[in-house]
Amino acid sequence: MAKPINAIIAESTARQYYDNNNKQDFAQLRTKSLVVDDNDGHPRLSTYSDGSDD
Amino acid sequence: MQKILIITAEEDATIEYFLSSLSEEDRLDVVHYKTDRPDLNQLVLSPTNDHKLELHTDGQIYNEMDFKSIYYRRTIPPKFNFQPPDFRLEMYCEDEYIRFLESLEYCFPETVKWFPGKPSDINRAKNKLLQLKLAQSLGLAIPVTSMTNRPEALLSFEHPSIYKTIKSPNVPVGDKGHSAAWTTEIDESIRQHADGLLTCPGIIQKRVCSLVDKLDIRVTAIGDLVFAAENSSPQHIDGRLTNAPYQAHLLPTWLSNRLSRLVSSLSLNFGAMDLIYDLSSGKYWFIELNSNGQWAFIEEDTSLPLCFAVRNFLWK
Repeated sequence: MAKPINAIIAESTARQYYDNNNKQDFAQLRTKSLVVDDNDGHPRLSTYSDGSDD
Repeated sequence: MQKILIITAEEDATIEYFLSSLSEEDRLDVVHYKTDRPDLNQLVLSPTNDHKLELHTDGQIYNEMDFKSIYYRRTIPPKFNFQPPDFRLEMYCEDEYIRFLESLEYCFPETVKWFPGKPSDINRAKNKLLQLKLAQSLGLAIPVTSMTNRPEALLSFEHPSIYKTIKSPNVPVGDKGHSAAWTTEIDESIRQHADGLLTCPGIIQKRVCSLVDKLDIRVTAIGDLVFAAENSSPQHIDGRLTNAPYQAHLLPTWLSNRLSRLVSSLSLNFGAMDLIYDLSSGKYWFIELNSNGQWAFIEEDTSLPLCFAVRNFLWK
């Protein structure tokens, strides 16, 4: 079976972020790419948490 | 004095934010059941017995009559960490745990208020097609949308269009365990993977306006109150990716009323709704509703009194 489009997009997201060598950007983007709330996928959770609940 | 029951995982930034807004007196009314800490929190559910519920937490035992309202938010099962690792058994236990927690709704009297709603109503409301159907029936503008596993449907869909996931943007790929599939423009790089729909269905939707004309609107309905905030994100199809802070937005009364009716028609007392405002035409488009979405970041950015509204709903 072909790879899901969801996986294609998510891998692209991960590549963009992990390939980034700028530490500040990396930290910022890591939050956006990996720390999303189960209920609405919104990454703003990180605004007032360490984002450890992903 | 009856208590306020909050059912959520130990780490839930929205709840932490909410609890920090309460007075010391109000905090004494709150019982926090942490779904991922079975070492501290246990339940006995017996809806056909005289005593329908035993809730054990922090050395206290409560029953179904001890609570006036329930905030059912982020029910993450415990982390099992079996040794040796057994991923399939973990998945099985997690699913059993979720069903167990959802059964709570059958153990409380009808007088108890649920926020955002009963678990079964929260889950039903998560279906994006149901939301669009109801929104359309209430006279809201919605984008042309298909949920499909047919590659040809994606290839023949009118341009410009976007792709998004049916339920969760968290996809288990990559070295770190998972990454996010944000709402994405359907371009050639997506079209060449159209067969991937056979493996995992998705949602395709007509893009309703250009990025430069797009204003992302987050509407938070709490009880009878409706709060709106706006954010322009001209670089992103998916408004969740912007760094810019939200600002309060004044919705037309007719729209506010219809969104409030949408939430109540889903038997909910809360809804975090995503809309797009087309600056060029002045038209609002309903995109989706998050039945248990986050809202604290909106208050943090805009100072709209969302904590106050949630507090009043739960306590009144």
